[in-house]
Amino acid sequence: MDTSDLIPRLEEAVPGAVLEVRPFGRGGEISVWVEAKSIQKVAQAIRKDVDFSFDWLENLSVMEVDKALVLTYFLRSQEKGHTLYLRVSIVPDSPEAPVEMLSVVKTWPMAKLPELEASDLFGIRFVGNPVPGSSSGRFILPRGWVGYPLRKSYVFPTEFLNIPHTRPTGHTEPDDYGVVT
Amino acid sequence: MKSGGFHLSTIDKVLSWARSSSLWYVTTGGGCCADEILAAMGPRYDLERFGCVQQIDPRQADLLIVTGLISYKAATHLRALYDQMPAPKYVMCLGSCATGGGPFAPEFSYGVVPGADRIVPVDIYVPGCPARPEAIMNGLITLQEKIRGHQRSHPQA
Ligand code: SF4
Repeated sequence: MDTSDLIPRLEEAVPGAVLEVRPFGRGGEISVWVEAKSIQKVAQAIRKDVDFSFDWLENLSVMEVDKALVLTYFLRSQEKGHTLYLRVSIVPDSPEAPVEMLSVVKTWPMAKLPELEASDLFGIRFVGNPVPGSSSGRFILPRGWVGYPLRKSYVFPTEFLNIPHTRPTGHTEPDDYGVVT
Repeated sequence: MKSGGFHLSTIDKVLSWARSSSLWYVTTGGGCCADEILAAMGPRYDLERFGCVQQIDPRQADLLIVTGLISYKAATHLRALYDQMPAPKYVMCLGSCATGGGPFAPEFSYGVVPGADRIVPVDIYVPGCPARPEAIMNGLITLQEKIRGHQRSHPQA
Protein backbone atom coordinates (compact mmCIF):
# COMPACT_ATOMS: atom_id res chain seq x y z
CA MET A 1 0.00 0.00 0.00
CA ASP A 2 1.20 3.43 -0.93
CA THR A 3 0.77 6.61 1.07
CA SER A 4 -1.21 8.19 -1.75
CA ASP A 5 -3.94 5.61 -1.09
CA LEU A 6 -4.50 7.36 2.18
CA ILE A 7 -5.80 10.55 0.57
CA PRO A 8 -9.26 9.29 -0.51
CA ARG A 9 -9.76 7.74 2.90
CA LEU A 10 -8.79 10.99 4.53
CA GLU A 11 -11.21 12.93 2.35
CA GLU A 12 -13.92 10.53 3.34
CA ALA A 13 -13.15 10.70 7.06
CA VAL A 14 -12.73 14.48 7.27
CA PRO A 15 -14.45 16.07 4.26
CA GLY A 16 -12.82 19.22 2.95
CA ALA A 17 -9.73 18.92 5.14
CA VAL A 18 -7.22 18.05 2.42
CA LEU A 19 -6.24 21.14 0.47
CA GLU A 20 -3.37 19.91 -1.66
CA VAL A 21 -1.07 16.93 -2.14
CA ARG A 22 2.47 17.69 -3.21
CA PRO A 23 5.71 15.75 -3.51
CA PHE A 24 8.09 16.17 -0.59
CA GLY A 25 11.82 16.10 -1.18
CA ARG A 26 13.43 13.79 -3.74
CA GLY A 27 12.46 10.49 -2.18
CA GLY A 28 9.03 10.19 -3.83
CA GLU A 29 7.24 10.91 -0.56
CA ILE A 30 4.22 13.14 -0.39
CA SER A 31 3.21 16.02 1.80
CA VAL A 32 -0.43 16.69 2.47
CA TRP A 33 -1.59 20.23 3.09
CA VAL A 34 -4.55 20.22 5.39
CA GLU A 35 -6.80 22.85 6.89
CA ALA A 36 -5.50 24.24 10.15
CA LYS A 37 -8.83 23.97 11.96
CA SER A 38 -9.30 20.28 11.17
CA ILE A 39 -5.78 19.14 12.14
CA GLN A 40 -7.02 17.27 15.21
CA LYS A 41 -9.58 15.27 13.21
CA VAL A 42 -7.03 14.52 10.50
CA ALA A 43 -4.54 13.41 13.12
CA GLN A 44 -7.09 11.07 14.69
CA ALA A 45 -8.10 9.67 11.30
CA ILE A 46 -4.59 8.78 10.16
CA ARG A 47 -3.64 7.54 13.61
CA LYS A 48 -6.61 5.14 13.66
CA ASP A 49 -6.36 4.00 10.03
CA VAL A 50 -5.75 0.23 10.09
CA ASP A 51 -3.44 0.15 7.08
CA PHE A 52 -1.25 3.08 7.97
CA SER A 53 -1.63 3.88 11.67
CA PHE A 54 0.75 6.81 11.86
CA ASP A 55 1.60 6.52 15.53
CA TRP A 56 4.88 8.37 15.73
CA LEU A 57 5.48 12.09 15.36
CA GLU A 58 9.17 12.35 14.56
CA ASN A 59 9.44 16.07 14.37
CA LEU A 60 7.46 19.26 14.16
CA SER A 61 9.02 22.08 12.22
CA VAL A 62 7.89 25.63 11.59
CA MET A 63 8.97 28.04 8.90
CA GLU A 64 7.88 31.50 7.96
CA VAL A 65 6.87 31.87 4.32
CA ASP A 66 5.73 35.35 3.35
CA LYS A 67 3.10 36.19 5.93
CA ALA A 68 2.21 32.63 6.87
CA LEU A 69 3.71 30.22 9.36
CA VAL A 70 3.97 26.75 7.87
CA LEU A 71 3.97 23.82 10.28
CA THR A 72 5.25 20.46 9.07
CA TYR A 73 4.42 17.30 10.98
CA PHE A 74 6.86 14.49 10.18
CA LEU A 75 4.99 11.27 10.74
CA ARG A 76 5.96 7.64 10.70
CA SER A 77 4.13 4.42 11.37
CA GLN A 78 6.28 2.13 13.42
CA GLU A 79 4.52 -1.05 12.40
CA LYS A 80 3.99 -0.47 8.70
CA GLY A 81 7.03 1.72 8.00
CA HIS A 82 5.19 4.48 6.13
CA THR A 83 6.20 8.12 6.29
CA LEU A 84 3.96 11.10 5.75
CA TYR A 85 4.36 14.86 5.97
CA LEU A 86 1.38 16.88 7.07
CA ARG A 87 1.50 20.57 6.39
CA VAL A 88 -0.58 23.35 7.80
CA SER A 89 -0.33 27.08 7.32
CA ILE A 90 -1.57 29.72 9.70
CA VAL A 91 -1.47 33.46 9.27
CA PRO A 92 -0.90 35.72 12.28
CA ASP A 93 -2.73 39.05 12.39
CA SER A 94 0.51 40.99 12.23
CA PRO A 95 4.16 39.91 11.80
CA GLU A 96 4.75 40.23 15.57
CA ALA A 97 1.44 38.95 16.89
CA PRO A 98 1.04 35.52 18.47
CA VAL A 99 -1.29 33.11 16.72
CA GLU A 100 -3.35 30.18 17.94
CA MET A 101 -3.22 26.63 16.68
CA LEU A 102 -4.79 23.38 17.79
CA SER A 103 -2.54 20.96 19.63
CA VAL A 104 -2.15 17.34 18.49
CA VAL A 105 -0.93 16.12 21.87
CA LYS A 106 -4.03 13.97 22.34
CA THR A 107 -3.13 11.94 19.26
CA TRP A 108 0.65 12.04 19.48
CA PRO A 109 1.88 12.63 23.07
CA MET A 110 5.40 13.22 21.79
CA ALA A 111 4.20 16.50 20.27
CA LYS A 112 4.33 18.10 23.71
CA LEU A 113 7.89 19.39 23.64
CA PRO A 114 8.14 20.33 19.94
CA GLU A 115 4.94 22.31 20.35
CA LEU A 116 6.32 24.16 23.34
CA GLU A 117 9.48 24.93 21.40
CA ALA A 118 7.47 26.23 18.47
CA SER A 119 5.32 28.33 20.77
CA ASP A 120 8.40 29.87 22.33
CA LEU A 121 10.34 30.61 19.19
CA PHE A 122 7.52 31.36 16.74
CA GLY A 123 4.74 32.62 18.99
CA ILE A 124 2.24 29.88 18.21
CA ARG A 125 -0.10 29.17 21.12
CA PHE A 126 -1.08 25.52 21.01
CA VAL A 127 -4.55 25.13 22.44
CA GLY A 128 -4.75 21.83 24.27
CA ASN A 129 -1.07 21.40 25.15
CA PRO A 130 -1.17 20.30 28.80
CA VAL A 131 2.27 21.38 30.02
CA PRO A 132 2.01 24.27 32.51
CA GLY A 133 3.62 27.35 31.11
CA SER A 134 2.56 26.60 27.58
CA SER A 135 -0.15 29.21 27.86
CA SER A 136 2.26 31.86 29.16
CA GLY A 137 4.37 31.22 26.09
CA ARG A 138 7.80 30.83 27.69
CA PHE A 139 9.47 27.48 27.99
CA ILE A 140 12.99 27.49 26.55
CA LEU A 141 13.56 31.20 26.78
CA PRO A 142 13.92 32.86 30.17
CA ARG A 143 10.88 34.43 31.80
CA GLY A 144 10.26 37.97 30.72
CA TRP A 145 11.68 37.55 27.25
CA VAL A 146 10.02 39.78 24.68
CA GLY A 147 9.21 38.66 21.16
CA TYR A 148 9.52 35.46 19.17
CA PRO A 149 13.15 35.05 18.06
CA LEU A 150 12.68 32.97 14.93
CA ARG A 151 10.11 35.27 13.36
CA LYS A 152 11.53 37.31 10.51
CA SER A 153 10.23 40.49 12.12
CA TYR A 154 12.16 39.83 15.35
CA VAL A 155 14.44 42.61 16.55
CA PHE A 156 17.37 41.59 18.78
CA PRO A 157 17.18 42.85 22.35
CA THR A 158 19.42 45.72 23.43
CA GLU A 159 19.63 44.37 26.98
CA PHE A 160 18.28 41.60 29.17
CA LEU A 161 18.61 41.23 32.97
CA ASN A 162 20.50 44.55 32.83
CA ILE A 163 23.17 42.90 30.68
CA PRO A 164 23.71 45.02 27.55
CA HIS A 165 23.44 42.93 24.41
CA THR A 166 26.14 44.81 22.53
CA ARG A 167 29.82 44.49 21.87
CA PRO A 168 32.03 46.28 24.39
CA THR A 169 32.78 49.77 23.16
CA GLY A 170 36.05 50.27 24.98
CA HIS A 171 36.73 51.80 28.35
CA THR A 172 36.80 55.50 28.97
CA GLU A 173 38.25 55.30 32.47
CA PRO A 174 41.68 53.89 33.25
CA ASP A 175 41.66 50.42 34.78
CA ASP A 176 43.70 49.30 37.81
CA TYR A 177 46.89 49.51 35.81
CA GLY A 178 46.13 52.97 34.49
CA VAL A 179 45.53 51.68 30.98
CA VAL A 180 42.81 53.16 28.80
CA THR A 181 41.76 50.87 25.95
CA MET B 1 46.07 49.26 49.76
CA LYS B 2 43.13 50.38 47.73
CA SER B 3 40.49 48.53 49.70
CA GLY B 4 41.81 49.92 52.99
CA GLY B 5 42.49 46.52 54.61
CA PHE B 6 45.50 45.32 56.54
CA HIS B 7 48.66 44.47 54.74
CA LEU B 8 50.56 41.66 56.42
CA SER B 9 53.65 41.53 54.30
CA THR B 10 55.24 38.18 55.16
CA ILE B 11 52.10 36.27 56.02
CA ASP B 12 50.44 37.64 52.92
CA LYS B 13 53.29 36.34 50.84
CA VAL B 14 52.99 32.90 52.33
CA LEU B 15 49.23 32.93 52.00
CA SER B 16 49.22 33.96 48.38
CA TRP B 17 51.95 31.43 47.63
CA ALA B 18 49.75 28.76 49.21
CA ARG B 19 46.67 29.96 47.37
CA SER B 20 48.38 30.10 44.04
CA SER B 21 49.85 26.62 44.48
CA SER B 22 46.53 24.94 45.15
CA LEU B 23 44.10 26.48 42.71
CA TRP B 24 41.17 24.14 42.91
CA TYR B 25 38.80 24.91 40.15
CA VAL B 26 35.20 24.36 39.23
CA THR B 27 34.20 24.63 35.59
CA THR B 28 30.89 25.50 34.05
CA GLY B 29 31.53 22.70 31.60
CA GLY B 30 29.71 24.30 28.69
CA GLY B 31 30.57 24.35 25.03
CA CYS B 32 33.37 22.60 23.20
CA CYS B 33 36.06 24.31 25.28
CA ALA B 34 35.11 21.98 28.13
CA ASP B 35 36.75 19.18 26.15
CA GLU B 36 40.01 21.11 26.15
CA ILE B 37 39.86 21.25 29.94
CA LEU B 38 39.47 17.49 29.92
CA ALA B 39 42.49 17.19 27.66
CA ALA B 40 44.47 19.49 29.93
CA MET B 41 43.48 17.38 32.94
CA GLY B 42 44.67 14.20 31.29
CA PRO B 43 48.09 12.57 31.62
CA ARG B 44 49.61 14.34 28.64
CA TYR B 45 49.28 17.88 30.02
CA ASP B 46 48.47 17.07 33.63
CA LEU B 47 47.19 20.24 35.24
CA GLU B 48 47.57 18.66 38.65
CA ARG B 49 51.29 19.27 38.73
CA PHE B 50 50.47 22.99 39.09
CA GLY B 51 48.21 22.19 42.01
CA CYS B 52 45.04 22.53 39.97
CA VAL B 53 42.47 19.93 40.88
CA GLN B 54 38.95 19.85 39.61
CA GLN B 55 36.21 20.29 42.16
CA ILE B 56 32.54 19.55 41.73
CA ASP B 57 31.53 21.72 44.65
CA PRO B 58 31.93 25.48 44.24
CA ARG B 59 32.29 25.82 48.03
CA GLN B 60 35.64 24.09 47.87
CA ALA B 61 36.92 25.89 44.80
CA ASP B 62 39.17 28.92 44.40
CA LEU B 63 38.90 29.31 40.67
CA LEU B 64 35.88 29.39 38.40
CA ILE B 65 36.65 28.47 34.82
CA VAL B 66 33.92 29.70 32.49
CA THR B 67 33.88 27.71 29.29
CA GLY B 68 31.57 27.92 26.36
CA LEU B 69 28.70 30.22 25.68
CA ILE B 70 26.48 31.58 28.41
CA SER B 71 22.85 32.00 27.51
CA TYR B 72 20.74 34.61 29.21
CA LYS B 73 18.85 31.84 30.95
CA ALA B 74 22.12 30.51 32.40
CA ALA B 75 23.42 33.93 33.45
CA THR B 76 21.73 33.89 36.84
CA HIS B 77 23.01 30.38 37.50
CA LEU B 78 26.57 31.39 36.65
CA ARG B 79 26.31 34.26 39.08
CA ALA B 80 24.95 31.89 41.74
CA LEU B 81 27.88 29.56 41.13
CA TYR B 82 30.30 32.43 41.61
CA ASP B 83 28.53 33.69 44.71
CA GLN B 84 28.81 30.27 46.35
CA MET B 85 32.60 30.23 46.21
CA PRO B 86 34.54 31.26 49.34
CA ALA B 87 36.25 34.60 49.31
CA PRO B 88 39.64 34.70 47.65
CA LYS B 89 38.18 33.61 44.35
CA TYR B 90 39.31 33.99 40.81
CA VAL B 91 37.62 33.65 37.45
CA MET B 92 39.13 32.47 34.21
CA CYS B 93 37.38 33.00 30.88
CA LEU B 94 38.23 30.20 28.49
CA GLY B 95 37.68 30.56 24.78
CA SER B 96 36.13 33.28 22.69
CA CYS B 97 32.56 32.33 23.61
CA ALA B 98 32.98 33.08 27.28
CA THR B 99 35.20 36.06 26.53
CA GLY B 100 32.99 37.95 24.13
CA GLY B 101 30.36 35.74 22.58
CA GLY B 102 32.70 34.31 19.97
CA PRO B 103 30.74 32.91 17.03
CA PHE B 104 27.58 33.85 18.93
CA ALA B 105 28.38 37.55 18.96
CA PRO B 106 25.47 39.93 19.68
CA GLU B 107 25.07 40.72 15.98
CA PHE B 108 24.35 37.09 15.17
CA SER B 109 22.72 35.66 18.24
CA TYR B 110 19.88 36.96 20.36
CA GLY B 111 20.28 34.72 23.40
CA VAL B 112 23.98 34.63 24.26
CA VAL B 113 25.58 36.92 26.80
CA PRO B 114 28.42 38.79 25.07
CA GLY B 115 31.11 38.01 27.61
CA ALA B 116 31.21 36.52 31.08
CA ASP B 117 32.64 39.78 32.45
CA ARG B 118 29.10 41.17 32.40
CA ILE B 119 28.10 38.64 35.03
CA VAL B 120 31.21 37.90 37.12
CA PRO B 121 34.50 39.80 37.53
CA VAL B 122 37.09 38.08 35.36
CA ASP B 123 40.75 37.78 36.31
CA ILE B 124 42.20 36.19 33.26
CA TYR B 125 41.19 35.57 29.67
CA VAL B 126 42.44 32.68 27.61
CA PRO B 127 41.71 33.30 23.93
CA GLY B 128 41.16 30.64 21.31
CA CYS B 129 38.38 28.69 19.71
CA PRO B 130 39.00 26.34 21.38
CA ALA B 131 41.93 27.33 23.56
CA ARG B 132 44.60 24.65 23.39
CA PRO B 133 45.67 22.89 26.60
CA GLU B 134 49.00 24.72 26.38
CA ALA B 135 47.08 28.00 26.40
CA ILE B 136 45.08 26.87 29.41
CA MET B 137 48.30 25.98 31.21
CA ASN B 138 49.78 29.32 30.29
CA GLY B 139 46.67 31.05 31.59
CA LEU B 140 46.85 29.19 34.89
CA ILE B 141 50.53 30.00 35.36
CA THR B 142 49.86 33.65 34.58
CA LEU B 143 47.06 33.65 37.11
CA GLN B 144 49.35 32.10 39.71
CA GLU B 145 51.90 34.83 39.10
CA LYS B 146 49.18 37.38 39.40
CA ILE B 147 48.05 35.96 42.73
CA ARG B 148 51.60 35.97 44.06
CA GLY B 149 52.08 39.55 42.88
CA HIS B 150 48.77 40.74 44.40
CA GLN B 151 47.55 42.06 41.10
CA ARG B 152 43.92 41.88 40.23
CA SER B 153 42.52 43.39 37.08
CA HIS B 154 39.14 43.91 38.73
CA PRO B 155 38.42 44.82 42.31
CA GLN B 156 36.50 42.10 44.13
CA ALA B 157 32.81 42.47 43.36
S1 SF4 C 1 35.16 29.35 22.01
FE1 SF4 C 1 34.95 27.96 20.26
S2 SF4 C 1 35.63 25.98 21.04
FE2 SF4 C 1 35.17 27.26 22.83
S3 SF4 C 1 33.06 26.82 23.36
FE3 SF4 C 1 33.04 28.58 21.97
S4 SF4 C 1 32.76 27.71 19.93
FE4 SF4 C 1 33.40 26.03 21.29
